[in-house]
Amino acid sequence: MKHSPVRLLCGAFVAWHISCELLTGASQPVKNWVKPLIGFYTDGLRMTNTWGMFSARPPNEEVVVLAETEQRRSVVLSTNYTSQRSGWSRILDVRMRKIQTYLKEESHRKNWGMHYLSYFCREALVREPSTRRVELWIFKPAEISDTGALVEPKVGSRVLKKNCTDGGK
Amino acid sequence: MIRLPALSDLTEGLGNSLERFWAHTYDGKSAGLFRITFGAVVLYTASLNWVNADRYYGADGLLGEAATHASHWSGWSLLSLAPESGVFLHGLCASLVLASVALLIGFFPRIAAVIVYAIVTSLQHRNPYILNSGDRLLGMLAGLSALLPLANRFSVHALLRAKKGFPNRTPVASFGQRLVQLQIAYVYWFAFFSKIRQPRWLEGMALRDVLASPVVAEWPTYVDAPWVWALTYLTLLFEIAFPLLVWFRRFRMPILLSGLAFHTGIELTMTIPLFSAVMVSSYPVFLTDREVSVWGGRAWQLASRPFTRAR
Repeated sequence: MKHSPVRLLCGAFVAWHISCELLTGASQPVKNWVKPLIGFYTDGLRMTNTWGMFSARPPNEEVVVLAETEQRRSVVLSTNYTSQRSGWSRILDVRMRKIQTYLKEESHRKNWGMHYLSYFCREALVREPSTRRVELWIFKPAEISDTGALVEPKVGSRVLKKNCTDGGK
Repeated sequence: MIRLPALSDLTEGLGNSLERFWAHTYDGKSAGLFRITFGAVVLYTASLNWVNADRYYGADGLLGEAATHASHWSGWSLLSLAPESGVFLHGLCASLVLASVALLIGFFPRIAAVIVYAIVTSLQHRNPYILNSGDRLLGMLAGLSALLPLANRFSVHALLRAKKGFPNRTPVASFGQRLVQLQIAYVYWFAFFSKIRQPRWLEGMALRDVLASPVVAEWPTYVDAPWVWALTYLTLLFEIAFPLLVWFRRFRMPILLSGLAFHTGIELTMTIPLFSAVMVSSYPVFLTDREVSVWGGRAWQLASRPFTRAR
């Protein structure tokens, strides 16, 4: 019983899982080296992760999706700032903050930013048929730096836009 | 002259310790309690996923299906079988809710855990950008929990066995439970070692940044008081203490209660959905069967006291 095949299989799985978890948290060169071997388990089956949990400074930028109507009126469709979300959306829809915050990175905007804005085009057109386009803006608030100095806020900048005349396709 | 123990004694001792750790038998009470707490969290998440399914995962949702092709593993999703089908998407979400109910009540719970894992992972591949670390942990724990004796106690199966007069299932080896325990302990371990490499954590100022962030803080406030400094170090202390002390009976209850307080604080002050709930729901796996009986009995007594007095 002590060396039964089931027990050996269990032992092998434990060793495999722990090794994969440790390697996922290893340095990038090590991860690149082992990825072909363990990638199916760590990324394909998604059985490991890293857990920084705010080890890095959390983001402060406000990422906003605005709609502009034919009357040149701007309407905020979505923001990643918590304080501006309704209590109901905090319960029902807790994930928008995450996805919208990703869009402060240019690589993400390139990969799927237009898909994201297309969705808001469709949403805005349902509510307000005169919507002309939607835009993604980033605002950098004032903050205290690591050295204790005040970092001045930056004027908001438009980083992406999409015309909604095609119905948001 | 000091006499060193023989190598064979050392290896035998190590073998016995490993045997005790990985293969001691238990009757599955703690696994049953974990199934209930974890199942409740999965049911909550599954319900919210279903409510938001079209937006999060649909062909006309936040990310068109084509947007996920950049990922090498996007094909590892059940949704890739019918990427444009809303019916298939809602069918998967409904199956996830049903599987989480089955997990909660203990109706073929291991199969339910595998179904939960498969669907949760599929949804994560479809839209990886809405995920928090809690989502990832939920999927992993669902997969690993299939190795636990989930049906042995507090389940529909256990109820039916008792009704028919059959005895409880025989005790089983604890290796699956140990793996889940190590996984949870590793989360804190990793978080601690990630943090102590950052100057803000070492200076005791990190929580000031976190609580001031309008993106992650529930009520962003710039706090420059000594208690923020204390909380920063208490966070570090807890995250290293948990993986080291939770294995010892005398420290277990205080450390689990500290964890409960820690995660309640996170849940109340930050917008990190799911993570705290998943972590706390996993705590029953650290209990022994005896602890579940004793503490469960005490909790039951406390809860039922007002009713017995009224009678």
